[in-house]
Amino acid sequence: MVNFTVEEIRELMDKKKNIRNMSVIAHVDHGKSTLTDSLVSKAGIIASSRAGETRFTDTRKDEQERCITIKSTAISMYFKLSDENASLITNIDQKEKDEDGFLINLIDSPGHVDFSSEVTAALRVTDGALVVVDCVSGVCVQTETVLRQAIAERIKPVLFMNKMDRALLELQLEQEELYQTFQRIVENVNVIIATYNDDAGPMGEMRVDPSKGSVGFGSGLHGWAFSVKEFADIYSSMFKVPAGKLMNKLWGENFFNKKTKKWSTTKSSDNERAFNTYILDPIFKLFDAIMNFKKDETQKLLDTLKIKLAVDDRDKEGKPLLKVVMRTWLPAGDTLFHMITIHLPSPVTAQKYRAEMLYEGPSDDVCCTGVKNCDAEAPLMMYISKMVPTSDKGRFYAFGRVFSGRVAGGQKVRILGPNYVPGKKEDLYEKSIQRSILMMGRFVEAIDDVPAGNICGLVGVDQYLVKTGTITTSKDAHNMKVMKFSVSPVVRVAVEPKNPSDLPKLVEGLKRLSKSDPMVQCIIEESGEHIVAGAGELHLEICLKDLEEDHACVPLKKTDPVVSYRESVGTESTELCLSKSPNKHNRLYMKAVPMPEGLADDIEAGKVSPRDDPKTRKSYLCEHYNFDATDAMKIWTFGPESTGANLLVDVTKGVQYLNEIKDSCVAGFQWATKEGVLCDENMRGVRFNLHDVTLHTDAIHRGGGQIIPTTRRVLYACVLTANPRLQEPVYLCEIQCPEAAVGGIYGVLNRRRGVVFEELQVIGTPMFVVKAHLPVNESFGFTADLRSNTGGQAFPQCVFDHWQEMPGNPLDITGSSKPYQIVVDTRKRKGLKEGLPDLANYLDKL
Amino acid sequence: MAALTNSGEEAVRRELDTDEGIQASSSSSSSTFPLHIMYETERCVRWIQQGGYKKVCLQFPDELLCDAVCVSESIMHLLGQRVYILADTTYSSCCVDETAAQRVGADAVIHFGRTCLSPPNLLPVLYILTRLPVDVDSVVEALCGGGKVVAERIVLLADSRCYYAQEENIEGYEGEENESLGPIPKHTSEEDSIGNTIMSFVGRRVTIPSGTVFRDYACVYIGPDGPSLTALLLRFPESIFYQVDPVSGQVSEMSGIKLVMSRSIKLELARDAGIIGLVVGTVGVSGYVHILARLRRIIRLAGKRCYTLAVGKPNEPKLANFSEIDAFVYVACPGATVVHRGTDPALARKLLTPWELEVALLPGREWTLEQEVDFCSLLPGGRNHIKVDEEGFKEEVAGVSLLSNHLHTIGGRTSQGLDDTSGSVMVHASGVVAKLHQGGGGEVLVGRTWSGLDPSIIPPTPTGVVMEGMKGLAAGYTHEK
Repeated sequence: MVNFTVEEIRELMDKKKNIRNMSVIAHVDHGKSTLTDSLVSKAGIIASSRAGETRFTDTRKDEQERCITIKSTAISMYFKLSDENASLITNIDQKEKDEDGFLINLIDSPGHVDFSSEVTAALRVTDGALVVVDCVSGVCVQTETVLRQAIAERIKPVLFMNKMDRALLELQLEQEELYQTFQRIVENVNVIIATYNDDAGPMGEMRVDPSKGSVGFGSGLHGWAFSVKEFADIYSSMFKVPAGKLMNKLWGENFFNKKTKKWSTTKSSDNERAFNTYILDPIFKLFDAIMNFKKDETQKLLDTLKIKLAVDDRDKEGKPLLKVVMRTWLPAGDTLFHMITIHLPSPVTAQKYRAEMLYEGPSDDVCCTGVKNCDAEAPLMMYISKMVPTSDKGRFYAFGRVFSGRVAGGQKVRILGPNYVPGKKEDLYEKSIQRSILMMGRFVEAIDDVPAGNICGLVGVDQYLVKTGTITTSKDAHNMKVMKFSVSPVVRVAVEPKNPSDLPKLVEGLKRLSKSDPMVQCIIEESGEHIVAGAGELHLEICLKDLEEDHACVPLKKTDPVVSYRESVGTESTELCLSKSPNKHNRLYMKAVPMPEGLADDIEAGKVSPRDDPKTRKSYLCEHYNFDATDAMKIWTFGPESTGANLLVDVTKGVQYLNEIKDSCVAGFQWATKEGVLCDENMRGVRFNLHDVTLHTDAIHRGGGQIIPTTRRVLYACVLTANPRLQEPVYLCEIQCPEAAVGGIYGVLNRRRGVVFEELQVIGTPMFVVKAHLPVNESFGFTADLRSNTGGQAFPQCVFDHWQEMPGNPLDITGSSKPYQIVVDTRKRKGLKEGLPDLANYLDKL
Repeated sequence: MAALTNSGEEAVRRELDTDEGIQASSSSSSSTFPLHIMYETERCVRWIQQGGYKKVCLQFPDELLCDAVCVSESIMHLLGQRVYILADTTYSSCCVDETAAQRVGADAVIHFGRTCLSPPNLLPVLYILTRLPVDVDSVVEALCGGGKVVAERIVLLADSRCYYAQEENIEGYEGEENESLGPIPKHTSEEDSIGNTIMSFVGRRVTIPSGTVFRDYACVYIGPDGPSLTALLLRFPESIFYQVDPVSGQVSEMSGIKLVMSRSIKLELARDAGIIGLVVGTVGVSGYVHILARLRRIIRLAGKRCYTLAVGKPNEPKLANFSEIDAFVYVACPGATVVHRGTDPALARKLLTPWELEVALLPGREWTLEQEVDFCSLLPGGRNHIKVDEEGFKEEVAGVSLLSNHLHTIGGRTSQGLDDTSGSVMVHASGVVAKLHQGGGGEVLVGRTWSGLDPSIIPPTPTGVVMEGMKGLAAGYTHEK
């Protein structure tokens, strides 16, 4: 029985200080969805006895079957906070006066690294994050990745140690061992937070601290949890000490001597750590009594702890009894709810410091001020972070967060796409919203309007959004910043319909697919291949399945996955390359030079960008990359797409009419860097220097028609004379396994050109972590290979890390080097002229 | 004066890129066949005399130009009147160059060489198909023996220049299977006569017995690989084609499916484009004016801008002069409208066919596997004509582009109610205010760093000292030698 109504929720939406927008983030299999069930059951949406098994937020069939979250799912819940807990909230922005109901908008996100983009989209619309860590495996690579992202988005974290039941039942840890495990995880998390957050920044200190109650412990599967606060509450009435004071004592280096009744900060033979005595001890005793079927002792404990069981639960034994006892004693929903309301920020608090990070425009305009104040009366500013498929095929809910103003059905709004520039018409649509809705896991509820600070879905605007966008009512509004993803679509397959006449359905399906997933890229290549690109094998597998079953609904043929490469150069061009225009009246002289190491990465990371102030960029380039000051001021453009990691630099001296052909050169450069000479892949890390030009004196003879193709030809000649190289994408691969399996991992990695760069034991566990770089091209079937070679004990997590130059010149036919083979194969696949490109086609003689 | 112009030697010696890539065999064909057989001079004379034409033009494609003088002399000799030679056609040489013929006020044209057999616009035309050498024995051998051609029913097609061989020699083979073809200068629509279906396409006509469809047949094409074959492949992608090389008898199996699939990118290109150029590729095919008007209307209704360009035979540099145009529709005869990616990738990427544009933009026009390469079929009365309905464009339809992953829209743009106040304003000294750069090419111009000389900048351009410049021709200055 759901114990709240949509009306109650709608009422709370106006009380913005009582709203918490939060996401649940963690490494894969650390128990996010299972833990989320506890809150969902507290809200009465599912029965408490089914919490932990239902995985209510896994709404798709394949999610339930595979027990893995694929899409992030939002759910809104309403809870009432008791008075004594309400009094703990002291910040006036965190709670409305005289209102103890709270609205929690929770987003459960996937943990598998391939679906990181879903996490990014979830983080954008929330203010707080519940970081779940499996206390047996500790902090893993994905924990770090998502936590880092959260901090970059200015999301405040609280920590939850999950799977305590396993620590007790399977690992049989001692109390002090368990404390040390907890302590280490807290430290690890805080190290990550400290690395990426500045304590002096606008958010202040973000560290999690068990003694403040911002760390929870428990078992999502069994539905119980506690934080130090829960126990402090129990003991404060017993000892007549204020709970706040007790909390400090119940964690950390605080030892209590039962005989002398004295506290100490050092361990000695006759005292015990307070956390062990007062928190772990009762739990251990309960576990011991119930699991070893000590009935009398169990009863005694139940009485002391004042745990009252329902009638039909009393006959249970062993694990089922343990579950029900723990769940009754320490209900996980309550603990989580308290952690969320007390420690996570309300939109009012969060938007103050997030506004400047969210908005591209000036920080003092009316829109930004509206966001800062979370003002429902300001112009509407809503960010759509993802599209959620509806039951109506091909249509989507636009899912996002209202940061300012209010959104309602029938309202006329401006929809700004990611390429919108204020004052221009590109990527701008003016449309009416049909309806606004509340997302409730697999259900939706209609709602009249939604004010600032809330998360909701919109009906009727999906057509005008690709994946994300800004919705506003202000004519002067700038875009809200686009999200930066931690993964890239580096693995690709080509698809075609089994029946060729189904092609239009495939094209339509690809368009739908590209909307439904924040990361997937659906492209038709110049060769006519229909490409689906994803972050990894699993991601692609899911996308292709969706494409075939839900979006295109026709049988498809798929190629094996391939990776995209980048074309680069190894050295400076051996000669000054000349190309003549088709009319032979213009000459361009250029050279290609490899960029200094790191510059390409800096450009891709946005540290050096075409939008920078040229002077700032100049000093950065001079300082870090030894650029000549004059050259650095004469960077004509970046490419491809005007943002890529290749540069066109004018190093000419006193050439007439040069400014007239600049646009044509830039156009030719964009084209050439997008479709490299070797095999039509993007170029990367090449700096092209324009040394000299000879131009016809008549403007008519040096127009774009003459210069654009010539620029492209001369750039190709430059690359071919500069020891061309291929770059391949490389995964950072983290593998967790027991010691015995490490040997097997090395074997598999060696066969796949993987390079191990770190191997360490997870302290306190028999688990090892192996970190390696693995070429994406070698990663297909890696997971299965690894499992079969380690008896199923090793689990890899691969995330795109960097581009790596492949040894060998692709033009070297004799050695039949690997790059040569790749170039030949790629050309064949793309239907390009077979064989290697011929320099004579591009280089002209005087 | 020699410094100002070169001797023209370079132009004479320039190697021709003929579309067939078989210069060798065409020049050898004149040695294989006597001129009067190759060019059927007697038939030409008869035709001229019967029609009573006074001024007749002989149109030669580039690769046959070498024979032009001999042919015209022998015709003049037989006829006793002057004839004119037309060469270096403005558009593709497979069409009749009526514009050039009208220059001399010709009243008839004789077209030699490979032809697309498009219906001419104004003048009476005699098509002399000319001949490519066909080694009949090896072709028949390749078809009957060897087992390379596996199909029960076969449609025999041929390059127009190999057609003579089919008429004369491959009769025996034809009896064995069942179909025939004929290049016909006039288009006829599908019709039934004694229950058989007559299909006409790309200037050819095939009669198929009732109860069967074209898909059931394998096609044998005698002739070199080239635009005619491409057009056929696009028209019947589901059929298997056996291309038989006329000289060696070598058989290669082909299917248009891959080609058709690879052209699906064109639809996205058209939908994405803000500005579409109509490249006039023929003025000889009747109906080209109507198709231009029709396409222009569709493009405008779809909320896009449209420029019409007449640039002769398009090539990359010519089209690159219009860098603001995102896609070009090539309105040309079926034999030229599809530029193969292999022949000119840079040109092929931006050119689409009129049919593809209609599929992309016109509501109600569905994509089919059978590509329509003949724009005449799209016009009223044509096989594939549908009405342009303004209602269909009322609603703005937005979609995701599979090229850029941005949004594109079709239709409804005018009713969108966006404020039209953007754009630059130029104030003349006289106080006249002019609004510049609104939409289309103007918007592109604003985005450029160089938009021409600006007289308002003082000083206009830094004037340096007068120096001695380079000498000689731009193609090769004296100091460069």
